[in-house]
Amino acid sequence: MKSLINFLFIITISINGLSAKTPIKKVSRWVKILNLIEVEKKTINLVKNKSDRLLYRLFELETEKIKIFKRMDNNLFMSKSLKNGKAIDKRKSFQKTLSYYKKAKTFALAIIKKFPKTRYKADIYYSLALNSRDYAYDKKELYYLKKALLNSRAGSELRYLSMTSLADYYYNNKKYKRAIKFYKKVIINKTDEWYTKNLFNYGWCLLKTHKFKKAIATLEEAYKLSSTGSYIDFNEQIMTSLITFYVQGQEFKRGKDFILENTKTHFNDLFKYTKKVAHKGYFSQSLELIQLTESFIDTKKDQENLADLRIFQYDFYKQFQKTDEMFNIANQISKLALTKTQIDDSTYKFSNEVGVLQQLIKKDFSKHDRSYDVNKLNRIISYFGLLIDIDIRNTAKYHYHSAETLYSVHEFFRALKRYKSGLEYHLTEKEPKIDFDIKRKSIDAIFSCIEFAKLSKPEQFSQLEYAYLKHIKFWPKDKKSGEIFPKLYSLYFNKKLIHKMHKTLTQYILLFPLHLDTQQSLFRVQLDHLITVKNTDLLSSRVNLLYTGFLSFTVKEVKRSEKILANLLFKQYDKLAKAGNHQEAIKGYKNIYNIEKYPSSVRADAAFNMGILFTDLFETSSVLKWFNLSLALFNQQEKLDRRQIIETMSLRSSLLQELKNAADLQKLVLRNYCNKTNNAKTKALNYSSYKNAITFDLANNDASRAVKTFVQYKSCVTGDFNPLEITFINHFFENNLDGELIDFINSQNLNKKHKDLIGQRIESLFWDNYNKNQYKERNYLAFIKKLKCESCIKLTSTITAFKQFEKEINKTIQRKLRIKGTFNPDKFNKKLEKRLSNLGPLFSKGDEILTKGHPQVSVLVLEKMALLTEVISNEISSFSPKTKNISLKNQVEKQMKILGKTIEKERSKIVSRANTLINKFEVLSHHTNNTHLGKRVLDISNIRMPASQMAATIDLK
Amino acid sequence: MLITKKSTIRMFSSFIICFFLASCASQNKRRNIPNKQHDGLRFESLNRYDSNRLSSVNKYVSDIAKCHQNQYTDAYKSLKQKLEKEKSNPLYWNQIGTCYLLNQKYTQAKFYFTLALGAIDTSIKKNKRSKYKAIIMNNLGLNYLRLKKYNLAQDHFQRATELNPRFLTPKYNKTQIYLKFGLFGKAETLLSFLYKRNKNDVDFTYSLGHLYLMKNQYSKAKHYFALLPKMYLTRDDIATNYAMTLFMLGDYKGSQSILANAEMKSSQLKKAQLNLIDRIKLATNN
Repeated sequence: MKSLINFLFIITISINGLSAKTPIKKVSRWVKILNLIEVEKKTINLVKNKSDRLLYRLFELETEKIKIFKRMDNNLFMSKSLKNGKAIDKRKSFQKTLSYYKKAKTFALAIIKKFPKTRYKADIYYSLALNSRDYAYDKKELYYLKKALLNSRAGSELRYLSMTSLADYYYNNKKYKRAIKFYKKVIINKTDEWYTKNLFNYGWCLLKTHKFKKAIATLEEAYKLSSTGSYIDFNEQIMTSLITFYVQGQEFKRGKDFILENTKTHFNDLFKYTKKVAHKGYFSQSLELIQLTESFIDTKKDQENLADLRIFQYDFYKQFQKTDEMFNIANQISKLALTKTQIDDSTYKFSNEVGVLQQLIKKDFSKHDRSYDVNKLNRIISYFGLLIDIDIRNTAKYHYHSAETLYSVHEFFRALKRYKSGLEYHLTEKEPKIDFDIKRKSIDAIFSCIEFAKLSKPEQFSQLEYAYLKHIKFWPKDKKSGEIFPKLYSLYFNKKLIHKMHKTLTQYILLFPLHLDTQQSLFRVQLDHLITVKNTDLLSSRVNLLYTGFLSFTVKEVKRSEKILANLLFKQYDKLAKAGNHQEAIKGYKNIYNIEKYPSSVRADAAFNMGILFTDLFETSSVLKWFNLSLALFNQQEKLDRRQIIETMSLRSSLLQELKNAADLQKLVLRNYCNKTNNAKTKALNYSSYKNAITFDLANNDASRAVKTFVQYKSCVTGDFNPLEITFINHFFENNLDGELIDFINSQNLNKKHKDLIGQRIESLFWDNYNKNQYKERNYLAFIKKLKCESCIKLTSTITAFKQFEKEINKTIQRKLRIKGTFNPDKFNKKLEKRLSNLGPLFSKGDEILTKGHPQVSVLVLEKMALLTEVISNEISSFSPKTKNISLKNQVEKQMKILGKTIEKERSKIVSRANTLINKFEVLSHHTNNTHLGKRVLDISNIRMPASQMAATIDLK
Repeated sequence: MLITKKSTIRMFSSFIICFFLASCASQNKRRNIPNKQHDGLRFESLNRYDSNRLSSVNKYVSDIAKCHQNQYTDAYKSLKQKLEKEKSNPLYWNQIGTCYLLNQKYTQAKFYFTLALGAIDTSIKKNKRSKYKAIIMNNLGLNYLRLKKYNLAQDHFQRATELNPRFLTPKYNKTQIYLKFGLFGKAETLLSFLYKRNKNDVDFTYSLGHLYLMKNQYSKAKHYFALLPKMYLTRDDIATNYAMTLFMLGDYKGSQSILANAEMKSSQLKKAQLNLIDRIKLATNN
């Protein structure tokens, strides 16, 4: 049986040892222990008649079970509390523990009842006391301890344990005098390793009963014994308590000496001691101890302790309201390398101090005269400086708060700088999350500061720019940013910072596409400025931008800007041109044209202007070249706008006697504006250019070019072609371009259309070539016959009659008086009569033609009649009969001369008729010879200068 | 040297060109009247001014005076420079037209005369337009005359006369056409009128002499030729006509004497003079 109990004991110990070493997997371990307990209980319960020893063992096992269930219930209780965060009913949570406690208590009391004199009685009561203390809180502890003490044997360990527990019970329940009674007995036993603890508790009881010196001596002893290693080491608690004891007993020197003599860690203990002394308000003693404590710090190596000491000092001075010393110490702290805790601690302390100072300065600030305690403000700001030094991660926050302080006393400019510093730090450094929107608050405050601070203009510009840019950066799409963009733009405009203006506008457009009207207005401001300062480079780049659809400006507005740009660019060259320095002006325009960054239409205008200038320089090829280049760059509408100018330049060229250029310019217009798609209005316009081009080429005596134009552009022209056709006909005629005239009439099929005019012109050519060029004469006559115009019919009929008449005249002339052989008067008379009798009918035929009234033909008829009469008159007058009869010969010759003269008179009449006709009808005929009054002279020679050389101009009026 | 067909053609072409140039040159010959008293058209025309008289004309006609001296390039340039100031002045355009006329650029001349007519309608008061138009019509007529469009020339001189009967030049120009085409009655009427207006005018007198020569009234012709100042008797047209008149009157010596001092600027008149010399020789040998 004894061996069995030993076995069970060993198991229990081993189980207990296990539980102490393996806190992990508590539940499974507890289950195992419980299983083992159950196994041991089953084993014991195998014994039917159990001894008090076995029953006591069972009670021990039950107590063990309570212990386990208490732990289990406690675990559950803790986990529930943590999970719900609500108060859990403790009684319910520990039901199992209490249940097992009750079971064990009942079991224990039953053992005592069954074995009233059992040797385990004191043990059972002691265990019940401890169970009551640890598991039930049913205030039965004292009762059971007293029972245990009563039933314990004198000098036994249980008696000692019971007394110790009773002392502890009284100590814990602040029954110090009763406790002292039991501790006095307990501390007699110096063999207990817990002796030092008992001394410690005893000391406290003495202190509580105001026995300071004895209490200090007890603790000093306990401290010294703790250090020996024979007892449980309570040094730390003892020293802490001792410090209290020294202070309460005002044994400052004793305490200092004890520490210096007995402790190993002088600094720590002295520091604690100093703190306690200070805490209790002993200023001078504290100062002395501080000095002493600091003397145990290696300031180079032991920064942490020094910092702790300084932090304490800070509190110490604060406790005694020594603000300057506080700040001095704070300053020293800021220069030390602090631990995180120290940083937190210092930060907290300084922040509190600053907070108080802020409240004070705000409270004291007089808004009326803006007065405040400058030193206080400086102190606050300095504290923020120290806070930044210590707690650099929160720099932004400290800057902000210092700015707030400055703002509160209306130091707006200084505040502004601080807000900015805070904001900048916030943006550049990784700092902990701030519990307020520092960006928003700072920017708002900065705006407010700018408003209230009386800043110089440059300063105001710089601060506003900063604030605007930051706002836009932080909250680009914020409604307020939409209002800020125009302001920032205006700010830049006041400084004429064009690139910044434009950058701002570009950003504004990107972020606020619906603010188009405002953005357009802003852009106009920029354009107006560029125009005012004549910054053509930027203006051109802006105009180019407008061409890309920038801000959806209307074409009209874009064009207006472009026109202004062109005016600016061209102004100096226009001036040169006006001053007559065309070459320099052209040079300038050429430069503009060659710069590709300028808008196309500006370059086009430059080229166009060059065209105009070259017009005045009479450099035809250059005029065309530059107009061509310009038209290639203009858009359709611009081209149309320039049309009238080109036409005007053409007219100007014509006035400047540059007819080829004038014509070329009109053809340039036709080339560019004349096409199949032209509407009626354009076609009518084209007619003007068409007509002018032809007129100028004809005026320049270049009919072939004129004809080419006439044919080439006919299809895109609406207008009356008759005048042009007549112009061509007259031009060819007047300038003796006979072949061209015929070609033109034929190619353009004008015979019917202009038959009267053509008839006149061809008849004139006919007469010019009459009897000079038979080929042409025949062709022209044939042409006239085909025309069938009124005058043509008259000419063809009369000329045909005349030709017949001319033949007969010629025949008559050829039929000369020929007398063969000896002169026979009868035969001669017959022949003469026959010859003369022919004249009458022949002249009648001539008269008949004359009645047709064609002046030129009439002159020809009279010419022929005059010729015939002259021939016959000469023939008769010069007749000399071949006869030997001189008398007959003379008589015949005399008669013939008389007859000749008669015929000559007839001739003179004919000549006279001809001259009357010519004078009357002013016939300018090239064919007067026989009828010409000056025939005698002209037969000798043509003795006169041509009429064209004799005639004169009128040029003196 | 072998003359090929090609070289023959070339020679012929050269001849044509030379002939053309010669005929052009003949058209350019001026009949200068050094003494203004002998110029009945002196208030209307610079046509017969000699270089001395041309050099002293006023600035308003200095450009056209240049044209009369064949200084066309200078004249054109100068006239161009006056465009802005003078463009609405019809007489400006008349000067340009006349200059082209004198330079034998007839299409250009017509163009600027037409501009002048336009300028009259837009810039000249109604009551003065006829006078201006008469000037342009005369010059247009002369332009046609140079182009040998006699009817058109005659029409324009007639219109000029009608528009301003006071102008002598168109009347005189008309007489030249009448004389050319043998309208001597008409010519006589007009020349008598002109002669009455200025008996000292060389060409009025000469034309009358020529007229009567043509009309076979040699004594009358001689009368007029004899009225001409001696300095003009060397002028080839006058000398030829005067010599012919004397020849017809049988005064061979007188004829020879005139021809001996005659100028020979015109090829046509040179030929006429040579013919006459032959005739005189023939007659005197007989």
